[in-house]
Amino acid sequence: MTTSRHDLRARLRDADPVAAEPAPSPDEVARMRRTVVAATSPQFASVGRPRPRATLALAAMLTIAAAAGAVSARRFAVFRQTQPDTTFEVSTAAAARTQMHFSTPGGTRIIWTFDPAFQLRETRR
Amino acid sequence: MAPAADASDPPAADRLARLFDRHHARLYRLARRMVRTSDEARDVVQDTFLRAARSPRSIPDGPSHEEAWLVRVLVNICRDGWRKESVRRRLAGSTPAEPEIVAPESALIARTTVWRALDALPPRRRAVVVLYEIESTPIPVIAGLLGISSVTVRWHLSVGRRELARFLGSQL
Repeated sequence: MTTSRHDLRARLRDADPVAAEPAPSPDEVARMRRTVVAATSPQFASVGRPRPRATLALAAMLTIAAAAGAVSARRFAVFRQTQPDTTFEVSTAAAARTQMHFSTPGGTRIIWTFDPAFQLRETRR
Repeated sequence: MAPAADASDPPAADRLARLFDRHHARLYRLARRMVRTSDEARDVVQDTFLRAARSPRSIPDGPSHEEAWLVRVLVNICRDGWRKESVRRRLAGSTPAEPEIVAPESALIARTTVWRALDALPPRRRAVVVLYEIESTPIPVIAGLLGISSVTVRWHLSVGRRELARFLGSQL
């Protein structure tokens, strides 16, 4: 038995649950609405206006990062003065490695490490 | 409707509340036609608006753009559920679960058969069939809502009709 296009449409409409069932009650809708609105992130409608909390948090993070960098630099300078030259060369080689970070909108993070000591021919053997 | 008193950011809550008030009924109708039960449909609608709350910057301005964005999110949520269900079924080696309705009345049996056939369609194709055949939405509007071309809509419609007809024909 074949199902014509017209017959198919009629059967789909006849089986439509929206026509056969009651819509969600006002209480259910209100409950859903409360859940959704309560989940609103603070950034939802703040496009174009400054966000004091976020700005403060970012400033604090930058300050901490700068302070940590300054402390590390000082400690490294002391370390360099106390170490013989050979040790220092090894550190330089290690420091010459560079990294490139990617992150996708989905949250996947990719880190490439460029090692200047890497030789492709050696790995083929 | 209750005011958004418990929101963490009042303007944000207002915008989301307006979005909800404007689109929830239409989204529920679509969701109900996309899933098996009304509870599932409510969950899908709520998840859609929760995603809106999490990605506010990606929601375009204007009712029709908002609606298209929400419909796409809803269909994607249905796709996620459909994929998980497919994997679960494959691992369990079972056939699609039948709707809960078990009754001797022929009308109910006919409805159950139609819904089993719709359940077999991938969500985007099902959305195209539902929007066109049940809601009488014009093809260019469906294309705009789902973010695909009119040609793709026609193709989904054609394949969907064929699959439904084959399934329903074999069940008659």
